[in-house]
Amino acid sequence: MNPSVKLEKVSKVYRMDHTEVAALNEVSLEVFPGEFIVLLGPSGSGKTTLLNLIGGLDIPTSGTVEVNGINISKMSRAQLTEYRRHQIGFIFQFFNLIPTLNARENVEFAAELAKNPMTAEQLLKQVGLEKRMEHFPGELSGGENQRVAVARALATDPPVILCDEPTGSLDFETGKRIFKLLRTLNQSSHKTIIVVTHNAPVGAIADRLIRMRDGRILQVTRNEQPLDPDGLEW
Amino acid sequence: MVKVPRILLKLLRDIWKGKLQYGAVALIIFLGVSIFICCYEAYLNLNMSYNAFYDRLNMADYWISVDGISRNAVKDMSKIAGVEAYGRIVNDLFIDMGGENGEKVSGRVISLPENEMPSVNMLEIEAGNYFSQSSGREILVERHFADFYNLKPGDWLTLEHEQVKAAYRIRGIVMSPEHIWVVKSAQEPMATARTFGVIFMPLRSAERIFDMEGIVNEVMLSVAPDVDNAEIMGQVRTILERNYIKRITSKDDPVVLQNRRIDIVQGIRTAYMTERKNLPVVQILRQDMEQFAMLAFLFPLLFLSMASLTIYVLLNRLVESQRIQIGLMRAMGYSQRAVMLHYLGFAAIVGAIGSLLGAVAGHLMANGLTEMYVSQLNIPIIETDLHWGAILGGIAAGLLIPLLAGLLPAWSTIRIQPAEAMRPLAPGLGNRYVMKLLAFILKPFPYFIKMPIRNVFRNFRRSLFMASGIASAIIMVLVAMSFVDAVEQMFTRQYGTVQKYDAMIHLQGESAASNVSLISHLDGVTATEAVLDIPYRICFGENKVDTSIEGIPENSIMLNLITPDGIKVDVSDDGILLPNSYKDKLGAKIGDTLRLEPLTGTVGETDKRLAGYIWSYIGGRAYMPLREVQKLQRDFGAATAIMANFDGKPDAYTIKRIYNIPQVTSIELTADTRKMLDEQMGFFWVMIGIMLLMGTALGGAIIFNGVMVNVTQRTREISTMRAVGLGDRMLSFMISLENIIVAIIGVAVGLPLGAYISQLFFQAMSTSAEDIISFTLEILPRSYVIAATAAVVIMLLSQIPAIQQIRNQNLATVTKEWSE
Repeated sequence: MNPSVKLEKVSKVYRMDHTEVAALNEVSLEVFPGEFIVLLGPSGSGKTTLLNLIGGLDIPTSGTVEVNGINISKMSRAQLTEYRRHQIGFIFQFFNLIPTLNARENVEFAAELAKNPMTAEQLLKQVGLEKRMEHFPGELSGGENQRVAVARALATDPPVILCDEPTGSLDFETGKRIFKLLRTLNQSSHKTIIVVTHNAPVGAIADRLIRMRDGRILQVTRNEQPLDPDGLEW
Repeated sequence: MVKVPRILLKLLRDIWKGKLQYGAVALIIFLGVSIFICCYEAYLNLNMSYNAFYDRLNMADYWISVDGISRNAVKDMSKIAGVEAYGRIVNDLFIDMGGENGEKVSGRVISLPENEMPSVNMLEIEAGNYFSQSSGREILVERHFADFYNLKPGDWLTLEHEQVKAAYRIRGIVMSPEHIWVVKSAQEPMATARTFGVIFMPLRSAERIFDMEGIVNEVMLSVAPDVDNAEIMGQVRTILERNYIKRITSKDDPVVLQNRRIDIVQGIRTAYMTERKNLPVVQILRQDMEQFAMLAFLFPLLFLSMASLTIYVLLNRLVESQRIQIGLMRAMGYSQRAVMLHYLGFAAIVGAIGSLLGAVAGHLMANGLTEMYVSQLNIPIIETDLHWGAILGGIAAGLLIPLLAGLLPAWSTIRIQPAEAMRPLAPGLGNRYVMKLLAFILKPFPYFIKMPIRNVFRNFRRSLFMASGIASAIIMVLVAMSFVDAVEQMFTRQYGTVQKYDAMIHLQGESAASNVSLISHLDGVTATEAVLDIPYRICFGENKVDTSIEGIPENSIMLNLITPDGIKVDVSDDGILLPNSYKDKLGAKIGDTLRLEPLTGTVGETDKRLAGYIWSYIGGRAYMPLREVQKLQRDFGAATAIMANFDGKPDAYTIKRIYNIPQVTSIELTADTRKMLDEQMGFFWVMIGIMLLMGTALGGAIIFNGVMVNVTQRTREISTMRAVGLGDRMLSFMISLENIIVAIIGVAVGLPLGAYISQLFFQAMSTSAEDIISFTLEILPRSYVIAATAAVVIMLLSQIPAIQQIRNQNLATVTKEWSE
């Protein structure tokens, strides 16, 4: 099976004044279609950088990033935009919803970019928010906001969903529900999901757990029997 | 139902969220566009109204003045295809107003056909009727004069010519296209109705009074639009030549003095032709309208520049505050162009709202302004139209200028990397060295002093934006105040410093200077000085200006001429003194030699050294010692007027005695002229009031936005301070202190810049006003104080909503909300 995401000797160096900071150091990784990956590591380990490179939000200093067989490392800005529009869905720690649009409109905001978008109603129903569609982000709880963000990420029907600390600003129970939702999506829609977290127990729900430190992959663990998110404890 | 694209919905909702700030910018654009459309449409409407009035009364295209020509010659001119010609007698006499002071004023008699209105330069009858069949003793009175003396049809008026008096019954009060503004001559553009009146009488009466049986001295020609003017003029010239008038001169083609002398020796008679555009009344109205046009461009330019600055500040702030949203849009797959257009959309929508509303208001105001102006001149025709060019031009400017201003902030979104944008921006630290220096200097001060001062420099660009808002308000107020100052200074200088006489007694005839001693010996007269005023052309190289030279006594106590700097200067043998407004026209420097050519008569041509430039406000005259002007005229007894001072207010008996002197034609009391000017300034003060109001609104809008940006950008920071225990009063004090420091920067920049922009305005205005009124920029210290105080007060008031917003913030939410 061809990998959905393939990184080869990817490095990312940030230059600040006269100093160089290596955020990623020759990382190689393959993620296969329908996999649920958790990237685990402390702050500064390079996990968000890795996610940004896969998502086409940033470009590597060296190495190649291929997604679904396309090398995105050499893409122009316009190509990257097109790539993000159709291949990637993002979910962020702080939801990043547009505060002046309600739940339905936030989803439609993304859906309008898709060639064959799903309806906002369908998507919000899928995340259990069919009764809160007309509410603005300020009127929704943290968990509800994140569920809107999940629905938004699905709006363009992307094959890959990248989640950066999706439960970082949620309480334990709400966080668990979000992971449950993500896992369900992964299994039902066969989406490739990559989750970045520093919360070690979350690794148990992944198909593969990738531990990172100082810009390198320390360890890759395959869970033969991933934990159901309902069983999560932290 | 049409579904609004979500990115557009976001745009509309974001604007609604910041409705006060965007509303303020829309208001500025609204003001700019409405002023432009209002003034420019009013200008076009006035042009149309004048032209319609001229057309309705078939105003002549050419005036030919001669010493006398037979009526048959006029008939011949009428036979030229495409020409309507009308000959008339125009001559001056006295109008004896009678009353207890025996008042006499100058009158200009214009003849009319007995039985019917002339075909050229028709009259509009305001009251009464045209001459009756038995029209022997009937006259029509021009309305300005009639209004001043409250004359009505049926009243009697005594006219005096060569000491023969006769009473005439007023048959009607009329308006004439030549007298929309009563102009005695090009040298006396501001004749007052008190001292000068126009009277129309049947041709036969005029012939009798002036002994001009069968001849006229002015021919008016109305030329059809589709004929060749040069060919017509050729035919007119032939007719004139047949009548022994061999030379036609005009403003642009004057006859030189030498030729004039030869003409006299050879018995060649001369006609002076004036085109309609060169008629003094037409010139004055045109200049007045050009000031409208000038205002139509200058003020909106200022307003829209300010609007662009505010849009720039607002959008910068928006882009900064929506960094994460920009990152999100980019991450979701919105293209750079889509994001840029989204932020440019803010400027487009605000510009569109301001422009469209401004266009509607401007158009409505234009009609009102036209009506106001036209009714002030009592023109019976008001022509208003929808001038699409002006409207679309205004809308285009109101749309394009904010778009250009928004381009830079919108463009900056392109530089924002999605990955970077997802991280909240670190608070600005300011220049490291400045901050260290400030830390050192401010060490002994408490934090509530330290922090506001440091905040000013921490994000200096933000502080500069705010300061520029304050500077803008100052500029607007200062420009308006500079007009107030100019007018006040103009009157104070003219009537407090320069013009020290109580009355100007106009004279006619030979050896009129002998009346000086006669009048000075009258009871109640304390001093007199003779004046001799002769029309002259002053040349310097290729440059020339037609004016008059006034001879006044050396060391005159009645006329204290001053330099533009206010230093007293006397006429002397040293040379000629010119009004400062001729400086650019002639390009002559002090010490240069000027050529002086009299515009009438055959004597007085000379070269003269330019002794200096003097301050003058209305019209423009050159000054020389009386003896020298008399010498040039080869008549040491010549005088055209006497300046007189009275012991207190002159009584009726004294005035009557002066009027009884045969050579006195009229008395112009300074107090009356001043009063009349004050009345005429009413319209001007309304305009200034509107300017000040708009300036304040503009300043308020800009400062309000500046303060809102300044405070709301730091909502979280300020709320955190509240959370750690800083009281509302202390916070208000700190915000106010920071804003006041910024205001001081704004004041420091705004005052000199305001003075400079006022200067540009004055230059533009005086270029358009040419000879008529010469404004001098002089900003009084009080105006600087008013402008600065107004800006600071507006600033302090504008921060109230921002402070209120901070007080009402939910601390728990604000300090926690990092997602926005």
